[in-house]
Amino acid sequence: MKLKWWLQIVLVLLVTAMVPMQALAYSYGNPNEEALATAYKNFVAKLAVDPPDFAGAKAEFDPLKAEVDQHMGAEPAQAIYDALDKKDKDAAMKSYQQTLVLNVARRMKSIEADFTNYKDGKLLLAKALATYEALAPIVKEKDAQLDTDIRAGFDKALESLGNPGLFGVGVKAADPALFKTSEDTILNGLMKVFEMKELKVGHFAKDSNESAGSGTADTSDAAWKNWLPLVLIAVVFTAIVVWAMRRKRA
Amino acid sequence: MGTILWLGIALATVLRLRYGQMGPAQWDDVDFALALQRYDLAAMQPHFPGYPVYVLAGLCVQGVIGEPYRALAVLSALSSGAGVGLLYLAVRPWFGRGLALAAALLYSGLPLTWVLGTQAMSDAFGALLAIALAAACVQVLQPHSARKKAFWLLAAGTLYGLLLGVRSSYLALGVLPLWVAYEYIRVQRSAWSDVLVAVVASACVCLGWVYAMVINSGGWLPFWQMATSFTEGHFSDWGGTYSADQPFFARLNIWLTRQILGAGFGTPWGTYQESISRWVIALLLLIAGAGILFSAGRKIQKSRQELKQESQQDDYPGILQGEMSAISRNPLFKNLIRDRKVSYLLIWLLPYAIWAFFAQNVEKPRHILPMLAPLCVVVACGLQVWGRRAILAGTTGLVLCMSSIGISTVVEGAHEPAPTVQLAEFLHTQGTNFVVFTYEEERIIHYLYPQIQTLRLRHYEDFKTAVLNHPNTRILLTDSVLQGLGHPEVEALCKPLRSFHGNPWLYPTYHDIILYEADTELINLLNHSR
Repeated sequence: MKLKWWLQIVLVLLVTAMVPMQALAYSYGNPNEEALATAYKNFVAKLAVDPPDFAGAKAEFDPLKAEVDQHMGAEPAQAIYDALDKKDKDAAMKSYQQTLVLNVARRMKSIEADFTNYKDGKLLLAKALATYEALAPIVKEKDAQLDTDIRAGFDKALESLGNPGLFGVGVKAADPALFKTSEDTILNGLMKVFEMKELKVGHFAKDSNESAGSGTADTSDAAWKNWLPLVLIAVVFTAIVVWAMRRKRA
Repeated sequence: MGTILWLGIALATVLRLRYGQMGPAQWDDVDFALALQRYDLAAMQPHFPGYPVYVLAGLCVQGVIGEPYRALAVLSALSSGAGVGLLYLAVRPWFGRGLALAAALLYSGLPLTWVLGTQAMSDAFGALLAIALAAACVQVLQPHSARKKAFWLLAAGTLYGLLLGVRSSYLALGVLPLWVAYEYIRVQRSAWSDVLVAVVASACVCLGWVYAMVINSGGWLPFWQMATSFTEGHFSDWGGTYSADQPFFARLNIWLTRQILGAGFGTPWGTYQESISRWVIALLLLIAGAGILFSAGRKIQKSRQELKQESQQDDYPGILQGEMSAISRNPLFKNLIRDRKVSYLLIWLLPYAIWAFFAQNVEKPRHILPMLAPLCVVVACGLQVWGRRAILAGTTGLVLCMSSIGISTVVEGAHEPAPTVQLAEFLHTQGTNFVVFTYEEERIIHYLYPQIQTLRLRHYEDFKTAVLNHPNTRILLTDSVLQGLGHPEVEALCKPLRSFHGNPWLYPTYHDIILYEADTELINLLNHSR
């Protein structure tokens, strides 16, 4: 009997020792990524090697052509392909950079078009910032102060979207005027660095694939709707506490 | 006796307030400080699971104090002082005044409660609620009126809901209220409805803070996306430097000797052996441990004799019951079932210990904090075995030695800038034409100097791409990045530029940072490698 007990302990210990130590390490991973910007970084890396890998660079951009055509017209993608065909590395990179500037503009215009939609606005802004991150090394090299200004512009833009707060603490209203000024800072700065006269973005309409669900939590008018479930929870909680305590008194 | 307790609480609180954290030091405290300025889960201020109840408490303190770091440090100091008092209340009913006082004072002196009582993180507040939960649980099983018992059960449920809203990782402490509910039903027939009320209350509280986060993230869908994206990427992605995959015994060794004994109680560890206090603590803990073993042995012997008497009456033990009786008749196990005091301590301690060991990052000692309260009770019990004088002298010695280590650590923390901060300050003097590859240090650098360009990586390919995207730029890397590269030819091209040091008991993972600079040859190397 006693032997059995000890055997059991040893067995349990052995089994636990064999379980792989898969600790649930935290992730502070970034959910906001922009495919066009990620592809750009790979595109540059492909062209930077010696000799440049034009076929590889083209393969990085190919999957994104359709998206670029849809929102910015056929020209930008064509310019990238032409430069790649001519084996002109610098022109290819410059065309792609200009496409990225258009992408920042596209994201910012989409936010503007549906400004009270907090949830989509934040996602789109994160995508615009991710796009800018790809361009940042070039901006910084040409004008370090401008890089600081543009980053400050993104901070202001995020602030302008407002915040629903936590339990009603720290609620901030959306501020369209602030958004407009920060948008101008960002786009004007980028136009200057990348030598663009205008930002022609084909469709200003909201992207169908990114506005999943209806904008349930607007920061502007429907705030009371947010509070209803919380109030309900509080009422249920109070009710059961009172009920339970009354019952015991009897 | 009461005076000594109040003195202990006051001293612990006042000194922790005095040496509280003033500015950024680690990733998590930056998250929390930013959360007080703008609670935004998507921007990882704070990171998932959001700590809503903690941030709410922090916001309340901030309303009085203003500055976010100061507010969080004050909250930690107050929590850690209040925890001492609540531990006394959690222990007194079953263990008596003397032992409760000893346990509470021991808890107030622990080096880890000193450190976490001054840092701007959620642990001290979480540990306070964990002790409050235990204190409420004890009351349920005291000979009170039915109404009072039901009230404490409800309080335990509510506290558990709040606790999860402070630190979701304290989930495993829920076994304690479950056990209490089970005992409550066993003793008090038809008490199911009281338990149900407590469960519903707990669920209401949880639903409340979950919904508050849903509002913040703008709807259920974005909230869900955030939750899933959190579980996708891992720190361990980066070349496996994040030692989550250590062999079992190496992990156990670090967890026991470095985190629980070294960081928790202040025993000698690694290069920290020079101080006499550490050896005195180790000696006194050994005496307490021997006391526990001695009394356990005595109890086993006693119940073995009882077992012998029983088996003489028992003629035919059933074959089918063989397995069960092997366990239930085991003297040690039998003792556990009988003695509620022992069950209480074990159920408070063990489920969380198992959870913390298997599911939490063993590199960070703060995860063991909720285990230290019941462990202090165990130590006090162990000293008590040797008599009244032993517990008096032992507790005094331990509290003095542990506090001296704890206080000198937090004083250092208040006066010396954290290594991550030193790194940020150094980078700030380096002009603008550089990019620095970092790991968790990134968060602190950005908080202090947003204009410094940092990059965080997951794979070697990302590194290559990023370097090629920054031509004509100085490439700097921290040692945590370099170690994870796994490409010796790249490592050979990186020369140490500067190193930064801090106290490992204050900054468990980033206490030694070495900054490297890559040779310009690196670009050429990457240009020619495919």
